[in-house]
Amino acid sequence: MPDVSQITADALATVLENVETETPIELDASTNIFDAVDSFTIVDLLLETEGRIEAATGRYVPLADETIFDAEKSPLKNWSSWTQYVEKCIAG
Amino acid sequence: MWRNALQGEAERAELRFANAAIRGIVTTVGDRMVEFAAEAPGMGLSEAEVARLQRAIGLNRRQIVSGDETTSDLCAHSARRLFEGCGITADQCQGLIFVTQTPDYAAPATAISLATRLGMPVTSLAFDVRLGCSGFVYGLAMAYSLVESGLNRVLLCVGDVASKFVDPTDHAIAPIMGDAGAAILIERKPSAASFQFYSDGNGERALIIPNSGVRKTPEDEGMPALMHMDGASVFNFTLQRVPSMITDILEYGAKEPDAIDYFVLHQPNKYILKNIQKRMKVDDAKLPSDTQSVYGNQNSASIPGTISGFLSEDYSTRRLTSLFAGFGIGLSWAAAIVETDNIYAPATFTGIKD
Repeated sequence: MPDVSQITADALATVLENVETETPIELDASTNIFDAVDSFTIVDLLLETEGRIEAATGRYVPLADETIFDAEKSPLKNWSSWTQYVEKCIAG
Repeated sequence: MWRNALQGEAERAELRFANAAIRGIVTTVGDRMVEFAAEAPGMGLSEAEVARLQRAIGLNRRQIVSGDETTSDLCAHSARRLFEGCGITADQCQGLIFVTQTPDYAAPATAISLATRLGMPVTSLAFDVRLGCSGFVYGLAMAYSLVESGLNRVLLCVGDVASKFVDPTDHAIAPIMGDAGAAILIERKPSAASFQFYSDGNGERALIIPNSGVRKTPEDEGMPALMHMDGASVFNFTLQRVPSMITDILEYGAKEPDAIDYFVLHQPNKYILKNIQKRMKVDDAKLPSDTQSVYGNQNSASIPGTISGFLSEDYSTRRLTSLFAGFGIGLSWAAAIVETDNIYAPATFTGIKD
């Protein structure tokens, strides 16, 4: 298993380089990314994270499922949930 | 937000046909090509944001009409080329279904004047259907129903000049939309087809043109009559509903995924399509996903538009089993498994050339 925490954090940092947010995003376990960025940025984050996972594992792991854009259930509403979600996707 | 239980709560809207088939498909797109990178500064987007949107949803270029052409003009052009290619005349067609959200007028129905413009006799039936991205599958099922019920041929026209119902400076929606009108000829012939349909008005506001009809609500006060999209809700709907719709239509049509030659889906953006393709474990080549990047979102014309734009040779020369899936505004979604056999399917026409 690759270092998923590092992958998700690096992916977010890359995506946010090109995004202006109302208030700066300070990343900790409870950070809510879902409500801080627009839907295109979420897609960009998914793509960036998927690309980094593919580079680390040699296989494409689709991260978007029916919960990602759900305003109540999205794992992106809490950073630690997001990392756990990505780990689960990689584990299959 | 959406209805959760689909099965078990009611009898499903699903149809099977055995005596109707597609004879030909023609698509005409707007004559003006707009490069996303060129229009982006006018939307207040930086180079970095352009790169982000190009990567995230595959925005590249789109085809829109340059003048006052309407959806019915694009469809009329497609229909004339279709009649010529199939070697029939308009009076050999007994019905016209026009699926669009951009009719010539709020009233009367555009299908009636379109039928007359094409030379169809007064003994034809003609009516409009107000649907968006699911509209091709719905229209196809209605045409199949009419043919199975007794008509020999029905002309299905689908499309939108969507560039006219978006704010050109709104970067969330303007660079997505393309203009297209497709014509599809359906005639009586032994051929198997299965359809399933879904509707959920709880998602009415995910994609909406406020102040565009009779209803006035306080929340819409002051809003222009232009398409408004709640991007996250639309993504959520698509990821939630489309994979299960594909699984269900395969089961209803008694087909294994390997038996499908092409999965031709509505083309909202590349990421969504890639995600569905990977989750459904479908080969890249079987699920085309470039339509948005070349023509823009063609709404109800996106499925025929994808066939005309990228699969013309295969549909013209082979017997194929296709899975069609349309999904979007409404919320409305529908899928079909359809057989085609060497149909008339020329490459996309760019602009009206009458």
